[in-house]
Amino acid sequence: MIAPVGRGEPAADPTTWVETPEGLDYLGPEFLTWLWWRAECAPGFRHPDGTEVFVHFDEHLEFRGERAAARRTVLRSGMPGASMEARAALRSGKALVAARLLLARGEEEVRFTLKAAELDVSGLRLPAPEGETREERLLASLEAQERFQQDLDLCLRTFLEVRLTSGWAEEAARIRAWSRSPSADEQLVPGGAPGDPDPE
Amino acid sequence: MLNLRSLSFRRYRIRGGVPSPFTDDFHRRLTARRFEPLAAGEERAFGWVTADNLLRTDFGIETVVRGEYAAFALRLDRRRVSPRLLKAHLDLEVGARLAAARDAGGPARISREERRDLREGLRKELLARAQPSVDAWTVLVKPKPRLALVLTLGRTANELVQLLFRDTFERELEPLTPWRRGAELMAGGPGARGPAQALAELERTEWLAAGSAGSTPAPAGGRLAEGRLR
Repeated sequence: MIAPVGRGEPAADPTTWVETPEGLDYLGPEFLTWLWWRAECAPGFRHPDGTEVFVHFDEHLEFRGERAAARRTVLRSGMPGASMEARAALRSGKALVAARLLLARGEEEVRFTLKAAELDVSGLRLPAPEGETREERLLASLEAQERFQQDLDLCLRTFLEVRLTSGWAEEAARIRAWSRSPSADEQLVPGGAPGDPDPE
Repeated sequence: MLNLRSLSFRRYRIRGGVPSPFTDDFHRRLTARRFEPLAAGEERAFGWVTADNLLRTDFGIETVVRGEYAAFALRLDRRRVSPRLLKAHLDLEVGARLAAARDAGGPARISREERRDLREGLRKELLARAQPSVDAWTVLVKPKPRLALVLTLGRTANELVQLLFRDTFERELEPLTPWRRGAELMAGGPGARGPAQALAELERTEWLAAGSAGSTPAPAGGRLAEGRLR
């Protein structure tokens, strides 16, 4: 069931506050890894009002081994999402911890880097705002960043709708199978899948 | 002038309500924690300034309210003494004192305490002459959903905003992590114990576990599988 718009707003009563539990640092990287897979096989997301949003992974991918102590792999430029190195990082058990993405909603496109652990956003490029005065253009930008947050939340909610159900085991199996399938680049190279890329 | 064309931010949920940015209460609270310039010898000063101009601290509707948001900024001025510069001055001063002691026929040495006092005096002198570095980071607050955006990912800035926001509004800022935002988004969704508890009880997915290889499979339900990026 898809939650109606506005459900994600916090409860008005601050006494209902729940403290953040420990040890959930994997949730963001799992979300971003899932989003990468989802962007490759079904990049569209739909808001309850029917507005569609499409996700594309852009020019930066950063992987880390589990529990953050292991090696890091950073891939930049040249559509790294399609590269054999990216798939190899996933195959070796690393999770995607940061990525440069493009979100498209109608004619509006925004690019940004998502740092998965805290859902931090960096380098968000909003569309050029329309308006005759600086104040009007500022308000247009504020509205654009709100739409961006709604789109990001839509992706997160879609992920959690699967992650919180028994269907996640099957979804994770699909992602593992996808990680073992040839990337777009590997399909162009005879000889099969490569090994683990050089860590940075 | 506040510019949002390119930005980085961390989202926070405000733990409890804040006054409306249209009220005097809101502006008085900002004014009470406004930025005050560094006094002589001070190494660090921080406080609120307007989002449009880091030299202004006249908070009011005109300078704070931007649509449904309150916009203001944390200004941090820091003054520091270069350790290498301090050492160079200290070496010169110690050398001069030793030479003076030798010329006077006394013992050519400086005690540890004397050297420490000399270093501290030079540090204060250099600090008073040092130009401060000036930084300012915008904070956007939307009172009704109790949302705050800190427009930087810098650790120091985020810690200072949290600290000063608590002092100013007597409210905590909690980062909207995947868990917290997820729990909000899924409120009323699956899990009889509530989404926060359900999320807390999740187990990490092991991506290396065995599974069947094959071509790209579709996601659960196949929703919007026909969708494509333009």
